[in-house]
Amino acid sequence: MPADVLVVTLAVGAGAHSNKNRVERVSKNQDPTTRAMAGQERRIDDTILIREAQSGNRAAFEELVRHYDQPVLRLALHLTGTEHDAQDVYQDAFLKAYKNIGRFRFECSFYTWIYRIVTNLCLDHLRKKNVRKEDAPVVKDGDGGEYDLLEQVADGRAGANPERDLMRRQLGARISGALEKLTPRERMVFELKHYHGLKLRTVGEILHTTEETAKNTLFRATQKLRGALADMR
Amino acid sequence: MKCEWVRENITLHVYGELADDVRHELEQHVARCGDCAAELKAEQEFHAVLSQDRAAEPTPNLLAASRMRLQEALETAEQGHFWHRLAFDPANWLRQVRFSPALASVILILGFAGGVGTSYRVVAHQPQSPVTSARCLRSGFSSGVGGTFFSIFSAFSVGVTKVAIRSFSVPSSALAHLLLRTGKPELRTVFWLGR
Repeated sequence: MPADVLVVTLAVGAGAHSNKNRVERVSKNQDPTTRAMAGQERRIDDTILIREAQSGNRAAFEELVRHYDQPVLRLALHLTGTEHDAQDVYQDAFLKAYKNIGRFRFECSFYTWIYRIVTNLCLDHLRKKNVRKEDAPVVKDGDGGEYDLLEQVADGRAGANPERDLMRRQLGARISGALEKLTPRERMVFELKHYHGLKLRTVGEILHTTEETAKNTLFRATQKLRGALADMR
Repeated sequence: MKCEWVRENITLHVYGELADDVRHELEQHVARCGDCAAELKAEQEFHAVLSQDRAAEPTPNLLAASRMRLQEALETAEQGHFWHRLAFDPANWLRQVRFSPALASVILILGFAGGVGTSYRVVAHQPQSPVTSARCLRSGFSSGVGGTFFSIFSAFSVGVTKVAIRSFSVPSSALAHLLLRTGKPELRTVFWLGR
């Protein structure tokens, strides 16, 4: 998420549903005090945007979406594996948030709330994917390992290191294969902790469980991954 | 036992999730135990390998296309009406009281047992006759049922939303107050146990 402060000029009342709202991105210095102030102002911005969105201001909701949509799309992309499915999850998550924003009672942060919606949609996707394994766009090689076809396309850009790219793709494929062996819940906890750097307490809040359960799930997930990737060093 | 505890917490240590005092204890043990030190090193190496694989950032094109698609969908989407904010959300409420059924069951059993047990103690100190015994059995049973209701209200008032707390606790407090006024010693005991 960007560290800049957003100055949002919103039309209220009769002009609320028009798209004539101005948003300016104001750069701030990066010293800790200013960063803390920027974080505080971001939270105030979000509260104002949520209240405006609850009263029907669609532009406010769209601005709120822009604060969170990059990490949401990144999570969806990594869990679903395809851009098409990631877009579907992104769309469903924010539409659900829009329809239910009136029920948001500030009992948690909007961040936790939107992540909850996205993780539930991703969990549903993972569970359906486990059932429909024959739909996976993978190819088996001579050793029986599976690789995503699209990952095999060489990077022809200038400056690309083919050998490093190949190693990176092979590593990614092995890790993806090992992640498939986790249960949807284990995969979700691991994804949120390892790839998104969230605290386990936050992970517990998002998944409607306790921090202790999230810790145990992470432990089980890493043990399984170590077993599956034992030959990798 | 200590080594087992350390191995269970090594993953959390690598991810920086341990409290400072726990981390210190783990590091102290690892400094003295060769096996655990090797395990920690293996876990750190594994973590380093996993960290080479990063979640791909969505391309600007993908983000822009997703935003446009969402904007189009929002033009026809409808928000929930204002009364949805006031409507009771059973799913959300159930999530908040997810621990309360277990707690309620425990308090329910204690309340009922306490009520019945108290009445049996009264029976033991009274001259035995069929009428007295039957009356005391009924009294014990009703005390247990009374304790059960207090238990249910007490347990479910934990973890509910502010509105639900107000709506449950007021009648339960009023009911408790009313029953306490009856002066029956079994009810006072059950109420105390039920709380």
